Amino acid sequence: MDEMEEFLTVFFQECEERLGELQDNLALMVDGEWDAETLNAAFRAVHSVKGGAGAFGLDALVEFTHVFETVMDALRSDQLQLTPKICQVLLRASDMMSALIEDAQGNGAADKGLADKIRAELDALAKGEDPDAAAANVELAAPAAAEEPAEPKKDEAPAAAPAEAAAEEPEEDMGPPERELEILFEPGPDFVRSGHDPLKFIRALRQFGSVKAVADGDYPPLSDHEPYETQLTWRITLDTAVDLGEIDTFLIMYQLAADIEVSEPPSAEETPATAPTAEAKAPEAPAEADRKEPEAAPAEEAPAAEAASEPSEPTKAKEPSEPAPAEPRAEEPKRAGEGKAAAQQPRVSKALRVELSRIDRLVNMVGEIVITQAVLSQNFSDLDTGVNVEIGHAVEALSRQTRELQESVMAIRAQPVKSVFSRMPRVVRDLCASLNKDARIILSGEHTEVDTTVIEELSEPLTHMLRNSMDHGIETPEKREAAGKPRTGTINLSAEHRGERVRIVIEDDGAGINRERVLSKAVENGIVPPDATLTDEEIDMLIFHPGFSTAEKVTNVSGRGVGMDVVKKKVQALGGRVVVSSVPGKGTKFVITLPLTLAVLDGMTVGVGNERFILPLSSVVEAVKLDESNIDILPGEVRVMRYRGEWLPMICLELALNMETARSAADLVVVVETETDGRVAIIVDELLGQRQVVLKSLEANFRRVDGVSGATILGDGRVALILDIPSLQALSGGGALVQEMMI
Amino acid sequence: MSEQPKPADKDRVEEAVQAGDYRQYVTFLVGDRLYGVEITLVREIKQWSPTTALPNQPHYTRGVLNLRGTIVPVHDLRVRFGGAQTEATENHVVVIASIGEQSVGILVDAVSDILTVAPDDVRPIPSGARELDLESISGLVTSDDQMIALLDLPRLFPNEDMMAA
Repeated sequence: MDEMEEFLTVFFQECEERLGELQDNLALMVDGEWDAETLNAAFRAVHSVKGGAGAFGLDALVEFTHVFETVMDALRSDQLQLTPKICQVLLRASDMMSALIEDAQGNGAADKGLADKIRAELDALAKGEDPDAAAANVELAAPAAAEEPAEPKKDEAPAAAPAEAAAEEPEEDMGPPERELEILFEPGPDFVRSGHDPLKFIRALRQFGSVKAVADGDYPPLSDHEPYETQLTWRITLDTAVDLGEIDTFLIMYQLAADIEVSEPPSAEETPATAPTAEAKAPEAPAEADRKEPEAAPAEEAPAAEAASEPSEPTKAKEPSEPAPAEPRAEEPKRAGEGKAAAQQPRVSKALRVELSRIDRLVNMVGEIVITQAVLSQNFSDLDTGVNVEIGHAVEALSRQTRELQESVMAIRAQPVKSVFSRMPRVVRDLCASLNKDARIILSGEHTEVDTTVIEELSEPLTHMLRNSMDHGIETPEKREAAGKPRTGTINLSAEHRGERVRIVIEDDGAGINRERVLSKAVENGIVPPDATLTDEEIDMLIFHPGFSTAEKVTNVSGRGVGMDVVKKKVQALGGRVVVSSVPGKGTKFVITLPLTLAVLDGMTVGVGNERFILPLSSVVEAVKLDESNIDILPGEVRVMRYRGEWLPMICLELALNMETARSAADLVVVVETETDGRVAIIVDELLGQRQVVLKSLEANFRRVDGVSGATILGDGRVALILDIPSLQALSGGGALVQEMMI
Repeated sequence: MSEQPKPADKDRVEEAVQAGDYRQYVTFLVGDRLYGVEITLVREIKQWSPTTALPNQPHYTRGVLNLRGTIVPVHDLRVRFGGAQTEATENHVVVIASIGEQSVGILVDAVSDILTVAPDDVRPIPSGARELDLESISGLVTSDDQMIALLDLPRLFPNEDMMAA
């Protein structure tokens, strides 16, 4: 039983992958950028889900995918021309398929009525009718239609489908006539061990009609007899009136352990069915096709453009399907060149499923090695370097290799954001239906890779933000028309790398934030004092305040005052930040920046008194000598420093962090870039060098500490704190009051 | 004197410890006072090494140290009980103990002994003496005419995050 559950788990994981492929390919079809291979890939995805579902007896899923598959097959064989309308039906069907899979896992309830409706639409498509009419019919007579065995929906086994789907169906209502099917049955070596019995199989076939079986092949001498292996094959003639689809469903179970070919002898009135057995052969076929697919082909449209637009990061190995990040980097540009050609191929990622905990162990180990290596380097540099040049080279090589090792390990944990992004179109479609709005979502940069822990945590905030955009941002089609906008709203969801961080943007072309209403609501809720004067940006940020909601009525989409503050908390917990900007009447833009990984970063070590701190290298702009004549004091004791024609607020670490350190020189400032408020100057005593640091959590044994994003272990085994510049800035006064009010 | 078992009783005591009737405590010295922590909570004892101070840390916290790759906060028990900051030297020790899922280091002057105590020998704190600090003492035990205060670690070093939740 346990084993069965394990198989199921694997099956559901696979379903998810297949669904992803299906949705990718459907998306290409919607965009009109498809070819035969796109269709094939989509077909295969549906088909393998069906195969698995059959083996596990998930009937609802089998039936649904079967109809789905039939339509795909009709498209594949040019019996049906792809139109935008059909695309929509297919998209809905893929959503439903995913709902049915969730259903099968025991969570979420697929809407039975909706499933029937979509199935009827698919049925109609398979027959070349108007899906809308069929959907309307089903609403009236759904249950009856579903049960009717003679209903055509059950009999589009691909073998017969091309003929049937195209032509009018005179005989379909009566179901296929009794005819002779020929079944070639060849048990595999594991057939008996899998618990099957050839005799029982043949007997079981009798349920469909009369069976004549002829054994074929040589039986070996008794001395070589292997009781668990069947050397014989059978040619079975089955006289049946049952349609092929049903027989196939029955056969699926056996096909894992045996080769079974079903062929239907062509009869007079049918077009020669030259595409027989596609169905029966299929479980192996997709797998084979997969294997032939070029491994590293980075799919779809994005990589070529992406690789080209990211020349600054050639070493980062962003392509998702790149099998080994340690590959020579020089291949990268070449691959970008191939991108166009590769784009024609569907992406098949050859993947190995590894438990995350195992990878984590590896990551921890590598983290230790990085630290040990730092100790070694430090100790060595303390020695007289003339001692042994060769040891020096070895230490340098080790340091280089450690860094590569570490990058490779992190690349294992990196995943394209696609796994989250691809769920979003469904969210938008669902919301369109429930809000009576019309919107589409455009994804870009799905191949941007981020650490898997970040990915896992992204789904919830993204969904919240989309809901918010759909509910508050995008107007109803009527309002949009009145405002001179297209009826269909657009939401852009994009991801890109920015240095050591990833930037995710959600931008809608809706109404924008209604600042008057936000402000009055905030005053009403006591979030800001009535006489406060806030800048537009500050007002916009109010929507992240806990308990803030302007929705006039509470809908089940958004408006309970939870949502945007959850987004902010979630993003902050990941070490990221979220900023909103909005133009009234034009739309709203949310920008989330997140660290690429939660485990390592390049840091600049600085000394302040007897403490050492790490500044994230990505934010460091430059270090300059402190010159008293450049410093001015603003009212309220805010010190600012003149820097290349700008005035920068200065941060004094021991004051901001409330720590006692014996400061000695204090004659250097490090200019750092904050993501939100421009640059600030941090006063330090000395620069101690750059190094890669392994991020260690303070929360594990202590708690979150403001101003600090974590800690790391230095070469001498001591702990150093990693500064979190934006929260440091908030702590250091000046903007503190505003910040406090915002959070 | 009844607490320390005679050698002849040793096997019996061990059985009793395993059966859960007796409890064992690690005792340590701060100044001339003895404190005890249940032995099952003590993960290791290590020599003092310099710590890294944290911003806005509680006044009794000395900072954090690196315990084989994990970051562990170290609290100064003397300061926690109202004394002056310990002038930590190589002779001082840090007792690493578990509080729930977390580990903390407790800076003490020296580790003294391991004590096996029958449940009946743990005395409550005299009710007249209940002050704020005493709430973090779960009981008193006498050994060799010395009083040993048994520490209630979660109360002694509360995690503010958990308090807020």
